[in-house]
Amino acid sequence: MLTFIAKRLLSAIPVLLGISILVFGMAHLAPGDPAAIMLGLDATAESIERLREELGLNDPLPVQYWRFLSGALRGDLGRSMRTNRKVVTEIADRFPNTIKLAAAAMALAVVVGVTAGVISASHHGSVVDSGVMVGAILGVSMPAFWLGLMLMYFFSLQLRWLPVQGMGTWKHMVLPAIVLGSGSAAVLARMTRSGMLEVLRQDYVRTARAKGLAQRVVLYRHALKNALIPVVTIIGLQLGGALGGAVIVESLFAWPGVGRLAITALMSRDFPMMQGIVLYLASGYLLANLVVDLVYGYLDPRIRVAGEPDR
Amino acid sequence: MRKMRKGLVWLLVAVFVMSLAGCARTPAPTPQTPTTPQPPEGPRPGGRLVIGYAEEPNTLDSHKSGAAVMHAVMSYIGAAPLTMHPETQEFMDDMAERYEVSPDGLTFTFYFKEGIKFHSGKPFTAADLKATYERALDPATQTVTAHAMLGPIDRIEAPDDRTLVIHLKTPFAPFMINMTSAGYLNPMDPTRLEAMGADYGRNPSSVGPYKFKSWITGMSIVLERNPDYKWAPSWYKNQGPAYFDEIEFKFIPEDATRMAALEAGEIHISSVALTEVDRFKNNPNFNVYSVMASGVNMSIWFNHEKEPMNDIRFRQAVSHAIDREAIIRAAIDGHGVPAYGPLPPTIWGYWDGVKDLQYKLDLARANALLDEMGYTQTNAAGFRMKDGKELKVSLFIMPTDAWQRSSQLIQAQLKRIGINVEIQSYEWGTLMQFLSEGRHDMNLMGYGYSDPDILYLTLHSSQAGRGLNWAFLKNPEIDALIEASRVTLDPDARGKIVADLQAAIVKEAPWVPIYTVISYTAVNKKIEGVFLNFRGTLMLHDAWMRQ
Repeated sequence: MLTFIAKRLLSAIPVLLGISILVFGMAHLAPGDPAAIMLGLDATAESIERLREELGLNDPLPVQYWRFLSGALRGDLGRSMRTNRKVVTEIADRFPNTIKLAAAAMALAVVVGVTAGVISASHHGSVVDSGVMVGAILGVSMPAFWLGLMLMYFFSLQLRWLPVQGMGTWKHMVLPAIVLGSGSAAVLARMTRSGMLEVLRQDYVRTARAKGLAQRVVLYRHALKNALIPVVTIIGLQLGGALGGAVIVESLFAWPGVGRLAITALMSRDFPMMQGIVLYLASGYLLANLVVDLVYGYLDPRIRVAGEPDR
Repeated sequence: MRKMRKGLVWLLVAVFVMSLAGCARTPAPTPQTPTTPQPPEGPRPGGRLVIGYAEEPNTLDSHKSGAAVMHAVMSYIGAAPLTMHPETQEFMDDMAERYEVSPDGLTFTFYFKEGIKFHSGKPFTAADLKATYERALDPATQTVTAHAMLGPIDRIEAPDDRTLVIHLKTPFAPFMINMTSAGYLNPMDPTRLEAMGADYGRNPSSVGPYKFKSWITGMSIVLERNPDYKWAPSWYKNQGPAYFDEIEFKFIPEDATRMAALEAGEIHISSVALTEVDRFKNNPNFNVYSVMASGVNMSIWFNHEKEPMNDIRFRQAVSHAIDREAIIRAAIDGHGVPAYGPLPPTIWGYWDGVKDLQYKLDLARANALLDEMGYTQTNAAGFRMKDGKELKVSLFIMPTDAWQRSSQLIQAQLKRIGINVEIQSYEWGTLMQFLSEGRHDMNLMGYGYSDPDILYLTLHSSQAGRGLNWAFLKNPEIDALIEASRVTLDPDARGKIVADLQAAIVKEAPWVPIYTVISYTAVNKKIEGVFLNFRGTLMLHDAWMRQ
């Protein structure tokens, strides 16, 4: 298992290198001189030149890239142009909040989505099946912003059960987690349903039923585990997305996560911060995929034995 | 002047965000919803006041930010030498119990109250304020707004612990009003500055009624009562520590969420989105305060270095063709007042005569002026032509909702007199660069400022090409009046000059002033005793929370 993890981590290195080149290129591809942008309209030619020298912008690009890369490896992504705090500190302040929200949203999505998928598949062709699938389509197609406002209206303003915004207690997490997780729950429900339908037609399931096993045992012990492989892939992708894709939900519910930080950085053309956030997001995706591969090994021993996941 | 320009750029930006601060001089705004009778209850200490803001400060170092929200938070952590009475608009004591101004207007002496202490417990001395202002003026600090507010300072002296003498190089009319800015010009605690270094902005210390307590990045800043505070301005009823235990500033970027949080009682005070004003006015749980902005928030500026904008007949024709009311309805949902001159009624020196001098909506007159200029032919698209060339001009704008809607209306309104307007939209940084280079024919612009000195920064010939005179106006008569208004300190004489200046500007028509915005702040009725000052800042020292 350790070899497997080590291999996976090693294979992430070229991906991260590629991303770092892209991220580094961002500041250089963007129109305008970063030094001039930092100093604003007031700047003289001399002060811009001095800052260019200070920032090392006059060095050849490969030299600058090496400096950026070695800094990043030491955990130094520079300072935010907006707040003058370290990019790493700013992201570290927000990161745990985003993780909390993403985890809650994904937990909700997995429980609701997988359960709905299994129920739907086991009632194939019935009203229950159609109902679940209509729900899934609604879940995917409802814009997060609209859904958020509707939930806020009913649960916070009308019923007064949950707070409108902010972070603090579990109650603060309910609405944003529902909004962030609803899309994933819908996708998972559909994936689980189709996976289950395929598995339920297999011979070993028929054998299990012929042995007289209870429907619950057939569904959850025999069929679900095999139907889950594609579902786990989707969970990994959705989790990667939730880590960074919470931009709308975090803004709407005033949740102090990385998504809101990204918006602020973008609005204020804070290049070092944007670079840091993109690197963080990319690492998040890679990590989520690594976890997915490890879970594959658990679900399907053949993958573990081969040592190389078969995707 | 370079420094002032940078500060002003921030002030201009502040207008666009239209947040709570950076606004008006309306004396003692009156609640628009009548207060329902309450059983008598006196001020009592306690409670946490929660104020909602759309934006979060980038820092709480008063020298490193021009953000309106930084100004708002620091107004409670800090204090200024003087304050302005919210009703009479007189300069009154704050940290200084009295002050003197030399007859030539170049030397200001402040005598501070006894017993003022920093939040760290260190006694405040005049030398501390001297050091703070010298830090703001030091180019190495890269100060954003505070140095522009300090103006042309020659030197600062602190002859004893309670006396500060500031010598100016030239008279600077806005100096006194700037000395009331607790947000930008508060004293910084030298012990905290030394201890925190570059991180001072995350843990500031000054002499105001509230102490910094905590900052959860992306969510909130919490201040707690300063129990030692007993040097409040004398016009406050409360001369002791503040009533609220804590003030929390919550950062809620979405208008819809902030309005919902206000309704749900999660926040007590917030600016109100213009589309929601009526709903809150009709809600019995809130008082809604309106404040007219201290600036002309939208004007068309003409580039005088290009044809045909350099012909006064063209500028007058455009002025006669603009329907201000229609633009106010479309751009800001009717929440504004038409502007006819370069200053709004909320800036000292405003002259009402501009209403009589204005170019009234008169399409016949506008057409006649363009005919007179020789634009007599019309092409297939209905635009005027002269010597085979279409009358086509660019209008540079920023891509905000209000500006986009306004520019489209202006385009349609000018089409009625045969002018083809091409709208070009750029983000703020690029727009400023292009305007400085004079690439535009016309542009939309707005400002917020506290003194008629804004006319020096935007219309004096010395500011063309290097300052904010993006109209590139170089008019000797207007220059002379502006210069006289800067060095005349007698209010009556200065008022007369500023009135003449407004008349001269309206006559010359370098701008078509369009509107001044009215902004709204909703306050939960649980909170008593709130004032808004001329900057739109909430004055909270008499405010308290009902049970």
